[in-house]
Amino acid sequence: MIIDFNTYLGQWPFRRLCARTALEALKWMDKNRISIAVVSSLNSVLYMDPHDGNYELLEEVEQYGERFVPLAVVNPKYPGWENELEECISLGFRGLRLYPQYHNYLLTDEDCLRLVKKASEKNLVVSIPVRLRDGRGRHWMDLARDISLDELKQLAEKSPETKIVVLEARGVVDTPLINYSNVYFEISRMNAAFGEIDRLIEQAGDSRVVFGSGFPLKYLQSAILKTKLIKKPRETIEKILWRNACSLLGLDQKELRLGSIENMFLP
Amino acid sequence: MKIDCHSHINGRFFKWGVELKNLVEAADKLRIDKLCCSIPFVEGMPTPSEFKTCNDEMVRAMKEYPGKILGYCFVNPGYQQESLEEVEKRVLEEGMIGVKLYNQYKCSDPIVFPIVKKTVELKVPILQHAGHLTDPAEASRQPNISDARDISYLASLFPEAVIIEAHLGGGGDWEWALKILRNTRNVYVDTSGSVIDCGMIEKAVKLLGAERLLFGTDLSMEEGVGKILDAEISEHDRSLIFGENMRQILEARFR
Repeated sequence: MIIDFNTYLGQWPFRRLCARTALEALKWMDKNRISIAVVSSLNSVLYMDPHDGNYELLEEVEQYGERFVPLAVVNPKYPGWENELEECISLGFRGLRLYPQYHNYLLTDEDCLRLVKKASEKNLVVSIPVRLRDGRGRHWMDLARDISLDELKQLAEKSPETKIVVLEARGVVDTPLINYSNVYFEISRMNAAFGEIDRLIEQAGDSRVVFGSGFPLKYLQSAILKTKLIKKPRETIEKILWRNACSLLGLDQKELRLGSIENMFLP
Repeated sequence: MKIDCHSHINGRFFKWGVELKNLVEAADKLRIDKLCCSIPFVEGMPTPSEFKTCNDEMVRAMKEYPGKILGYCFVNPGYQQESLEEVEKRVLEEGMIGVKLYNQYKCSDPIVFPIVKKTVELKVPILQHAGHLTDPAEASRQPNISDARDISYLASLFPEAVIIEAHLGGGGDWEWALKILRNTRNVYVDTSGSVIDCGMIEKAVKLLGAERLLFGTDLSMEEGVGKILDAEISEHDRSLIFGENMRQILEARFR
């Protein structure tokens, strides 16, 4: 079984995506043997009120049951987020995805720290993509910065009770960030061919590494290939592919009714 | 068959962070049959002595892994006579497969033209470092980087030249590059680079045709292979991109 911790649904204003609906995404997921996509709204990146994107996301995925685990996008700089956080929990969102580079705040801003603290009180995981696109070819209206490892470190330090999943990071091996036990790492921008992910596992431990792809902004298969090149025991690969994600999201693996999909991946 | 048309190995003056043995091991795991490598200067103006050293090291790697590691000859067109002699010697006497040009000059600069003429004479390709960097900070780091427009111009002057625009997935706005190169038939595009925007390969096939696309990694190994495997294209097109097109380019000089 594979749980992809780094996926999105919706429109990306700067480029046509290969999958814009849940049904289209499922086709790619099935082709790549992804059982569950942990997904957030791309529309919420640029909506003034990102909560509308959360509603749209739920409408889009609700008919596909366990194949999608929705994460809510919350902007702690926009009024009303406290109410919406409560509503997201009642609606079944399993965690948050923050886009500080597009919502114009720092992870260390007081409002963000309050949001992250509340999320952890509600047992919600917080995931943060370092970036959503490569800056070398960015659209002229897309001025978002990449989140620095130092900014993430400061968040981890100020919010030790919060489980933070860093998406789209690279270069974390041998950095201070790796020492924070509340920080988890998604692998899609790290290399397996030359041992970076192996070193990540050795330094962070195999319980703090999760599989992710960045789909549909990015192709899925590259991330799958990474898991096949990791030189670690099968138990470790399984933790990365889905067990760690289950723990972070509070999913009971026994309750997942995914049938034959469970055994489709052989590392 | 998979031929990686764009890879690198460490040299004395610049290290890519990957040992040759590890590169070959990674290629084997990903079932890449051949690695076409070079050792360019990524900044500065290398002297003839310096670029010859790069090529000496490249030839050593070719001898260490015969048939697996293929080498491009890197030169600085600013040293015209030395560059021409170097290309001829490395191709004819040492079996190098083509020429690698980096960002020392834009390829639309006439100073590059004699090198291009030499590749036509020798029937070998040029792998031209390229990018359309939309971020001003990125662009300012490489003031002489060639873009698709430079390459298209060069190709129009030398219709018999075989020119490969490097790293569609590492040269900024790849959609811009495809639009420019659409009607320039003697330019191939290599798909390498860390950028794996979903839909990139499909759009490249649609605009250029699979016959003009060459698989490459530029050391982004899983990304390079994964984007071709995942693309919604025919198996025939996948086979052309993975190796068949490059095989034909490599064999052209023997025909």
